[in-house]
Amino acid sequence: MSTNSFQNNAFFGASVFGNAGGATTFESSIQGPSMLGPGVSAFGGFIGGSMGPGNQDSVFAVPVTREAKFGTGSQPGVSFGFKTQQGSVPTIKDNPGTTIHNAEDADNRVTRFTAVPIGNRYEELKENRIKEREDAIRRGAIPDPNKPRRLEDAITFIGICKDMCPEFERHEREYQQFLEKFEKIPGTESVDHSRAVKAYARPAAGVEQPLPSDVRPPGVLLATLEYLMTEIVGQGELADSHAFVRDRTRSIRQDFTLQNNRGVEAVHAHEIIARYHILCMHQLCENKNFSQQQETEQLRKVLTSLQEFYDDLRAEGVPCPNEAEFRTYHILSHLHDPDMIRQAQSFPQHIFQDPHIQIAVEVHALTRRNNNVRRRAKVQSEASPNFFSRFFKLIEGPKITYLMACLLETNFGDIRKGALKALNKSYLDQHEGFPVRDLVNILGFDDAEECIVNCLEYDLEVTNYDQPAVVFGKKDQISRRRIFKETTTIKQHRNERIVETKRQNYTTSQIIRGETPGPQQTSTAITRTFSSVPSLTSRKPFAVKEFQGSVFGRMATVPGSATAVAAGAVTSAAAAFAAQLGTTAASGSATFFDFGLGLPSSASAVRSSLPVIRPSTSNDTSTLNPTAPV
Amino acid sequence: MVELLVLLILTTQDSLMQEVRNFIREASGAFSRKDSNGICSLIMLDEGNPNLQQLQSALYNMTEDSIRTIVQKETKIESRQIKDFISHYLIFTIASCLNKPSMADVYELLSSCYGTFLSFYMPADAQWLTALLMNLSYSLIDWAILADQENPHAKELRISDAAAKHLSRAFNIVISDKVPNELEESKKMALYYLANLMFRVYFKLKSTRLMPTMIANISKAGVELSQYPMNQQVTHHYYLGRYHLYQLDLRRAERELSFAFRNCPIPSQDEETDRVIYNNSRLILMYLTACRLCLGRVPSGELLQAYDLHTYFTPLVTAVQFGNLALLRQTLTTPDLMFWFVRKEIYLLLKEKLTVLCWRSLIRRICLVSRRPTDPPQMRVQLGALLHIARTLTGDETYDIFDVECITASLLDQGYIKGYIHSQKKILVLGKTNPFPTIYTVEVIEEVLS
Repeated sequence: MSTNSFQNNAFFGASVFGNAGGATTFESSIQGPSMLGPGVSAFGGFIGGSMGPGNQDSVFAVPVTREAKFGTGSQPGVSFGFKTQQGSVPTIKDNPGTTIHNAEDADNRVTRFTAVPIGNRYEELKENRIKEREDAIRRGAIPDPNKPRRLEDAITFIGICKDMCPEFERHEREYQQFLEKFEKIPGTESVDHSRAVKAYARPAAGVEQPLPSDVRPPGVLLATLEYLMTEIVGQGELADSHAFVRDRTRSIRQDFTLQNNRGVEAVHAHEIIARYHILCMHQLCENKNFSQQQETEQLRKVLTSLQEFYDDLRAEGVPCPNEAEFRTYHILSHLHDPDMIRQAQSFPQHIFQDPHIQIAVEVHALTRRNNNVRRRAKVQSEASPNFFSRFFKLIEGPKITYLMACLLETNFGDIRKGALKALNKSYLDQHEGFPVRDLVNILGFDDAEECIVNCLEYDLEVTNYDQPAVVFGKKDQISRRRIFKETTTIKQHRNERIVETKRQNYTTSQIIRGETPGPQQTSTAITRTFSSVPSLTSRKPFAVKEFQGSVFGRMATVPGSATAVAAGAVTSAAAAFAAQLGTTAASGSATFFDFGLGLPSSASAVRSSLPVIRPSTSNDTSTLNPTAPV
Repeated sequence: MVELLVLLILTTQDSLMQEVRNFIREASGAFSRKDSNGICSLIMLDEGNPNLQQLQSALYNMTEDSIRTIVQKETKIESRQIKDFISHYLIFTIASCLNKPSMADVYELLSSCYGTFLSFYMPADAQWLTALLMNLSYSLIDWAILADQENPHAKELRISDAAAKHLSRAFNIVISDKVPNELEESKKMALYYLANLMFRVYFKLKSTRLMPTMIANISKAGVELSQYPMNQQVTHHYYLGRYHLYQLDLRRAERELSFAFRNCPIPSQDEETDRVIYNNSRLILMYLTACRLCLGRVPSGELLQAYDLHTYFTPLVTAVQFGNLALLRQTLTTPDLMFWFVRKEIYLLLKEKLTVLCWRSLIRRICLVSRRPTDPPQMRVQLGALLHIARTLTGDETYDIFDVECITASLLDQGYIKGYIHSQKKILVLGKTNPFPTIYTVEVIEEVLS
């Protein structure tokens, strides 16, 4: 990772942002102290910040004329809130300089001095913008808001901002104290001009139209994205920078839109942003401040834009090497929409046949189910596969890339619900339950604990005789309907076993840049991580050979000879499983329940009084169930 | 000699001018008489019409301006809109007969013609023009689609899109006709005709998501589809059927498509008409077959033969009947067949649904064949046997015992099989009565949260 980021840093640092930001900082840091002098150092910072070094008169006028709202002669009609700083102003007024001088030693003063935004030129730049806007309108760079014009005559907006963040916004946000920690000079409240990144501004009524100097051209946007991905995302925790990166990438997309740029640069940027969102949907899904719904919303927007870009570029004959990959994400992020997958059939042939798309198609078919509760006008279709075991096996296999798995993880809860519902209708509760360890395998759970908690949430019964098992097919005493709590929705869990392992040793940066391998087409047998196929060979041969000829008597093709069902590895696999379960199942039923449910364990697993884990709906959870299956 | 020639040319010119004058007089006459049939026979949009060819050759040497002048002079009607309409129509007529017309230009001319028409079709008393509206709408869409075909690499079907917007204006006029007349006397007579045209464009534009609004609006209009001519009914049911098939509402799609197929006209003696009937029936049958296969209803071999669809569907039918997963996969991966299905946008539908049905039939076959006289009366299937056969058929060694168990569970859940699984013994125990219900009778179990 580190080598990577250094290279990239060099790439953008020298070429794009080398001059402007740095120069400003240098200039102001010299001007600040020399103009204000040591006597005003205590409050000079923020005043300088507000007025800028050019207004020396007003600097000294401030402490006395605060009631005039800083409205000095040179700043007519400009007023602004100083809520955060007001507290310090009266202090200065009451004790002009002296108290502070006496109370603080020299070192402290220096710290405080550097902590305040010296050389902030917000006011000055704000003034300049009026003229700049007039100029731009006169040159025809932006449309005149007072003159209506026809759609055909719309001006192509061209941004000229050469920095990651426009100069005006840097000063404005420093002034308004809207800087994120990634944008400040460490240990201070001042803006680091070389690290500030343009924030997303919601287009709303009353917000003035951007100037060419507010918008970054495609090259700068790509360099900005590069900076975000290497210097911010690539360093430190994903969760730490998520809100910042999410906002700033949104602003990058906005700048592309403003300039109606739908070319290869836009494609490249959107692809990276999409990968970032997908990665976050898996990595951050358990974070408190993370909203899966909001992330999905942004991801879908990015992917929808990409679909349009690809369409446009294809019409122009420009190839997009990653088209299939992102069309796949688009399908996978709309897994419940039957129309989305149908549209895949109208893709160009080479895209439709691409391994990526073929996987999306496969995933889609496997996960479709019709045992959902009817919602609004949603159609429940006949003959829906709901082949959940195949789905999770596919996820484990090499065809599914890490990012696909990250994206699909959002659907795990729903697919498992469909699975448990189907299983609940297929077994009788008087039989022994379904072993949890098998269910863990089939439904891609991380461990037995997660599986059991899931089942309990759906009001399914979990027993622990010999081994933990789920009892499917329990019926309500009165209605005789099978018990299943339909309203349950399980929060997404960050899956280690089948999703995160796909990451191998790739760095965040590599994943976001698409440097990870694509779907592997090797059709070698995928054995489950710890398979436990019952030993079929130990049974009486089940007459396969006898009826092989007659079943398909009328068929043309019956490939191959009979293959023996492998059963050799069963015992060792079971042992491996026990090891995986570690202290829980392996060490017996007594400790098994100690996984945070707060349930007392009953070691005396007498068959007549089997310990039954009850769903934790009532307070009186843990008691033994008198109607335990026998 | 030369003089004679000049005279000849002049007289020919003169007689041609006379032709145009006659046309204009007749048209304005028809407008003032509100003669629906008359105006429809005058405003000819069908290229094969001999009268149209005559008019086109008469107009051939005229300029746009001279047409406008002559229309001004000859029309007896005051309405400027009608004058505009006639001149627009004449200008469009010339353009449409040019040797190599730019389709987009011709469309533009027809579009302005259509626009002026709508402006005087709006008033309540314009009902008599409804027949002409239908003709014009048809041509508008036809030319728009032609124009879009002209540049196949365009980013979007811009012109069809514009035509659809135009058409929806007409549709709104028609649907909001409040005159409480008999249907024949109402503008609503054009309702389904226009709706069908809209559907046609929507399918072309791949914007079928706009259809629900249309369908809702039509149902609110309070007119019965059965009161309309059968050709419109068939077309409407066809489009609705395809739409519901897209939405995977198989039962509804089947209803619509089977109505459309059943009511296709019986072949007559006319070869040209028969060809159209055959093609339309085949189109409907294609989707109907796909839909019914997914519901477990199998068409007869003769029917598929008769419409030349057996190459595509017969292997699928066989696969589903015998539970032959290998044949199913083979059929759906044969490039020729695959791309045909993909083009018809039924590939993924068939692949998804038929796989499920195939598994059901496979289990049924195994159950029937592996039954021995000594077995207990309640039928059962060894999941191990199912696994073995599934592996052999699919050639996919990744299937394990849990996969077949889970697939069986899904079939039990949906009601395609009746019975239960004995998990420890890995046996599927079948119900005592009718363990494999006829697929067609198995309906989705609708659950509603209480």
